Amino acid sequence: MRALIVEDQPDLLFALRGMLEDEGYAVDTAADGESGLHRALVWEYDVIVLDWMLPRLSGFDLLKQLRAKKSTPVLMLTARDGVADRVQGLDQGADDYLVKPFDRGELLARLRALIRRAAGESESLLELGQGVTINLIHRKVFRDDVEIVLTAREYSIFEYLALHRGRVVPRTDLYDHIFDENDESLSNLLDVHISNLRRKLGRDVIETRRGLGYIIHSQASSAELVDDASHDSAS
Amino acid sequence: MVELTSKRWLGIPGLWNRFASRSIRGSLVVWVTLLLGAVLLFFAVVLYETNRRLTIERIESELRSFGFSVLANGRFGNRFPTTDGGNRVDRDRHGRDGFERERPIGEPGPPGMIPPEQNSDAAGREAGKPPLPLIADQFPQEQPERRNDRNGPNSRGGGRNDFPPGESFLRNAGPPDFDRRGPPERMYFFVRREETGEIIDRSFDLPEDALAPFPESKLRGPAAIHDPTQSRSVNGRWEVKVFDPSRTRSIVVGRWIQREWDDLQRLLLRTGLIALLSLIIGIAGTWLLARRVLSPLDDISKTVDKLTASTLNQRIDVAPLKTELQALAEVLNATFDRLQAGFERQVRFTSDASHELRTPIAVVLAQTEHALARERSAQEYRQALSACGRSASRMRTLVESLLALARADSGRLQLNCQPIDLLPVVEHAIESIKPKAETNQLKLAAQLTSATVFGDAVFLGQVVTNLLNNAIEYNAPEGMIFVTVTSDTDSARISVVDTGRGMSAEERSHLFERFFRADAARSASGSTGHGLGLAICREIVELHGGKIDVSTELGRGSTFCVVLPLYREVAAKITTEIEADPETINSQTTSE
Repeated sequence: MRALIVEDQPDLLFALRGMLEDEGYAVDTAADGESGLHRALVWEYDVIVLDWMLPRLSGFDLLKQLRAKKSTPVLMLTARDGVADRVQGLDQGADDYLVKPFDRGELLARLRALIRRAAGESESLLELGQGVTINLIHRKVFRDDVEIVLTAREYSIFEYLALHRGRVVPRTDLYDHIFDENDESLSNLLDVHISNLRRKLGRDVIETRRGLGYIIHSQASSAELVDDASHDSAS
Repeated sequence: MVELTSKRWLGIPGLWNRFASRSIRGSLVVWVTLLLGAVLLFFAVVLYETNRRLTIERIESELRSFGFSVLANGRFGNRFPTTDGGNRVDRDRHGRDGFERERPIGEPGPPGMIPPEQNSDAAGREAGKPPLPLIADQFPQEQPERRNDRNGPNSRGGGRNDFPPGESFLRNAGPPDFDRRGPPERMYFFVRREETGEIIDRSFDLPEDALAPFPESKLRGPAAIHDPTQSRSVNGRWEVKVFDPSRTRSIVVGRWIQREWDDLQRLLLRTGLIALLSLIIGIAGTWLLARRVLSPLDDISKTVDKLTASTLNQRIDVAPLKTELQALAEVLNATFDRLQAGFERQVRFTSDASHELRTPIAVVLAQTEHALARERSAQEYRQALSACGRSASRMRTLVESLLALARADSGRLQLNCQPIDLLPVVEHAIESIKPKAETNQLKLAAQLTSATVFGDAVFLGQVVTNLLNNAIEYNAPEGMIFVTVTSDTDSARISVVDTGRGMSAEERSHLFERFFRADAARSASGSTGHGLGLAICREIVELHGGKIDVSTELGRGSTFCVVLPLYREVAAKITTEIEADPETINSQTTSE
């Protein structure tokens, strides 16, 4: 998942970045409203953490301009806790609102919920067929109730594909959402991670559509796949 | 307060306390009741008393005339002046007149009457005197009214209306009510006596106590005729004593006054009833009027009552009020405006303060939580701790600033004032800020002269440092800061000139407000300030009796000016204050 943090307090920005990176997010940061808006418009972020009081362009105005073009989930993070402030923020297009000082667990849970909702999911436990399940809260993947240990990057790729299952995810999308702008996105890095995932979870879970991208089938279609696989093995 | 619930009406004890003293309406009604009652009572008394006096005067003048005519005629005929015209033969129900000489023995006279043994008429005739002309003969005769039929055949009906002047008392008297009061002969009586007390003549039905002596008159001579002491009220009748001019004889004439007394009683009753009615109408009218007049007041109080922190934008509707209440409503609205402005300022301050305090707390919490989430390298721990330390020191300066402002607000910011030279103070501030200016690649120049003011060196140094800090933070890259201290006849002036971006008029108007920060500074220097510095500067300068001001031009830079009164200007005043109250000054200096 790729997140943008717009926060003018450098120490807080540093801490937030650390938290999100620990959780496997690819994190971009902006220290003022203008650069924040620029980044938010250029890149496809899965979630934006937005401070309310920002130099150059306030969070309020940033959101207004962003919403004219994009519907990226936005979590407002602000020290203003008045009801009027919250109402104004939410009405302006914020998807959630968190008052400083915040709890790390709550922030991460809210971000997960935002990403999940944006992908049209309501559950935190996704069953992907072939006995593979993914727990979005604990960031764990199971195959036949046995935990498969993945690296943070591998998990991020798998999570993104799982949230967008049933659809073909282009490689560029994966690059955009998995790597932040400081990562060296070598073209074969993604291939390496995918092959690692296949080795750990089984070859059939992630299908390659040559020239298009990757796909994890949604449960209905993956059930057919299982049938096909059993037929194959039978024959 | 103004509105009274009906329940309170039921509590009769303390009605005044609960009702009148706490309600304009109630007290208005009570006061109107009292005033109206007093006025009505006054008029009732005046009316009654006037009537009584007029009645008495009428009776007196009637009796005097009667008495004088008796005196003049030497005797009294068998005619009495009556109230219906005066020339009737008065007879009792047995057909006798009041002066008949032959009375059947054993037949009792009217109660309270003396038997007419000494009837003057008889005496006069026996003495062979020619009968004096009857008094009534001198009076005009009037056509008796129809109801006076029972006057009998002796009645001298006449149609003459040519009353001689001065005798109108007979004419003006109303018709007697025989049915109720009995025959008219009971109304009049007289007794004529020598000064020695010998009775010459008397009426048939003279009351026994009519012979009692009158109180001694203090008047002598003819004036005695009008002597008020020569008339008296005895047991429901009125008597007048008339002297002949030689004062050798007197005549007491009297009449029963029951009818007049009854009339007066009736008048009193009617007056009382009318007064009561007017009072009730007055009270009701006052109540309605008070309600009508005070209903806008109720509306106002309702509006004010509804005014809470969240509905401060409500105002009293002034338009329907066209009376003095409009002025009141306008004053109240203006007060609400100020209240709302103050409230909003307070809300903004609280919001700003909480924002400024929460941000460093958020940093500390986020850093610690993040650092403790899993094992970290020593480098990461060091980073987290230093971020925490920065936040803590930020909080410290913020809290100290807030405390300083709170102290200034409550008047507890204690200055250790003494005559100081501004030159070393400003120099010291410049020295302390120099490294920072050099880091920011700014040129710092100063032109200082000596100027002595009466003030606190520490606080004034803080003001200069604050201004210099701002000049650095808001300056353009490779800009310049120019500090001067000058003095004229009565004031010292510290100016700090920067070559920064300057401020718009909008920014300038909020400059000294708490937590105000020109936006650019936050990004330019990583927001080291809280927006409280200039607010504190202003408090300190104003505590010194000085002024702080700024002239600025967008894009050209700003000039901050602190003007303080020179020491010799304040010296005289301060000295007298010290002489006047050395205790305070001593305690102030020791506590610092």
